[in-house]
Amino acid sequence: MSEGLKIEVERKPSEVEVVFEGQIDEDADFSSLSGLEAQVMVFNLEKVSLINSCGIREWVEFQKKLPKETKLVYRKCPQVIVEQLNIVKGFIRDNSLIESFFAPYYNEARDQEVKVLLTPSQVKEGKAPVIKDEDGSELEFDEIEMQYFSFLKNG
Amino acid sequence: MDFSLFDQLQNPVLVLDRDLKVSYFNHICGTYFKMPPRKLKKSEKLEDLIQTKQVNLSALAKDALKQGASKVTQEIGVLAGENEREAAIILKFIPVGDQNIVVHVMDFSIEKQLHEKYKKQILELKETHEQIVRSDKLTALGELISGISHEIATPLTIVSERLGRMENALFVKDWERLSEAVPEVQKEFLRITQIISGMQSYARNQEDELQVCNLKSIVDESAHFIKELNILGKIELEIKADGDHLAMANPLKLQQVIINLIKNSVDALKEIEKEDKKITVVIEENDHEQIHTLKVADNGPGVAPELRDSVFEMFYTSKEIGEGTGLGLSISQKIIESHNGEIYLADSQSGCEFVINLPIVEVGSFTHTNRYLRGECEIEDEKVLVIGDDIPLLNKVYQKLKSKNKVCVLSSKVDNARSLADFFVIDKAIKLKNCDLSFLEVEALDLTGATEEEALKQIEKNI
Repeated sequence: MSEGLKIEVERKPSEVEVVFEGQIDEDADFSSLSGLEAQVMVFNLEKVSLINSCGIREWVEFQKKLPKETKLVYRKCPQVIVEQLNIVKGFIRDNSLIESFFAPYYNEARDQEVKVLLTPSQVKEGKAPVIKDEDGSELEFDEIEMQYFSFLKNG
Repeated sequence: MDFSLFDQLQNPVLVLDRDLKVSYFNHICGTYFKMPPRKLKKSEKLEDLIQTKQVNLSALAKDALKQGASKVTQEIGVLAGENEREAAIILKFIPVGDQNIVVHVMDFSIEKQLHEKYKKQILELKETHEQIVRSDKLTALGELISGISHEIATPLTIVSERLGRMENALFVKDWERLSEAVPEVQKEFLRITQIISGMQSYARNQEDELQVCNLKSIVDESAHFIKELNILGKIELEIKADGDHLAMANPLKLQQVIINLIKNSVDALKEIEKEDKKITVVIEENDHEQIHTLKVADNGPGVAPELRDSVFEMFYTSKEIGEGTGLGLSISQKIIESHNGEIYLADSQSGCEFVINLPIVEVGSFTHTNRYLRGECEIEDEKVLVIGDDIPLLNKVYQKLKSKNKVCVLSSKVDNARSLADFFVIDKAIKLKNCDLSFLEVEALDLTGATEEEALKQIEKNI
């Protein structure tokens, strides 16, 4: 049995935020969200640690059941989600919005890998934005830009 | 050579040069090995990314290059990537000219995990089911003990009274009265012995053993048990069966089913006001379909149409809370299915009729012995036909042949054996009774009239 997927729903004045935490796999149970209605539904995916092929199937099916008029927003997509965004058609619903996502950077001076939260607007012409550490040293983008940002072109 | 086409694939693909150094990896490798390209580029050889003790990857890659032919591993357990994630994969080494080898990774980790997970869950479900069956048996045992206590108390009272009479007769030397009382005491003791013997057979741990049984005897014993429970009242219980009906069965489990069906009928009949309440148990043989049909019918209220589909569901009960577990019919269905049979509620005009179909002994013995059908062995075993009518001896021979890994076809009737020989190629035959087996075209070991010991010795020697 996997560590499971925790789902918490927070109602805010302008949106309903659904926070996912843990693994999205064959045991992922989205039934607690059935019947949930909102004009804007935000999926906060920051704490999703893994998604496997069975989980993708559950995820896609879950989204299909949500009301069509609900606007879906994906917030703080971690690298595991970005990787799926890049290879799985239908992973996010049409006309939805990716609000922010994490991108891997490498701090050579400190030999440190860091995940930086970006917004799509920061990625110009498929290039990773320049990010500096507290000392002003420039970090190195730790993926292949063309591949990592390809989901933005699709959107 | 341009390998960038591999970036379009969703499986990890690596390219090795002729010195087996990693010269290219497609885009999915980063995701798969959980390593950024910066680190992937530093991986010099395949073993830096995939570690396994099951197969020598370099040797396999070299062979592929040397022979100019693809090499594929079996499913192997590996540690993948920098964080040494456990994975189950199949690797394919494809030589490209004499300079490069393409390594294609097929990952089956999820399939393997799911397979193991669901296998475990199925085992747990089976165990739960077994527990439910055991619990149902304990309930039945409780009822049996209560009935038995009552049954033993009656003959003991009679014995006590007769002993008093015998004592008086002895005192006055009335030998005639004394000799009259002795057989009566013996009769009552015999009754107690029979009850205890019944209990012992119930308690014996031979539940999963199948044996040649006469369905008529099983039905008779079930009816006897029901009568011992004193639950029938004015309900008539009729058994209709012509001749013997041999099947491969577990007699205790089959009794459990029949008793359960009869008790359900009794409960249904007790709920209505009626003069001629009746339960009928019929056993028939369907030669064409090679099955025995056992019907348990009553002239009670029957099952409402909307409930007919639910009667075999677990925890379904029409009884009051606390009076029925709702497990009886579900367990009965499992028991009959384990006998390769079927049980269903017949569409009767009035009352309720349950029908059980069980394969005749010839089919039952074959399917229960045939390990090939159960996938336990790959090579079909030798098939031995045994024909006889002595049930205990047939059972001994069956066990003997089973212990020698033979596929056994038991038969009491030559006609049945002949029709089955059309389906199965019989390799050997054993005759335990006088009959003509010339249609088999194999020599039969003739043990007609042999004692049990002689018969088993001959089988040991010749089969």
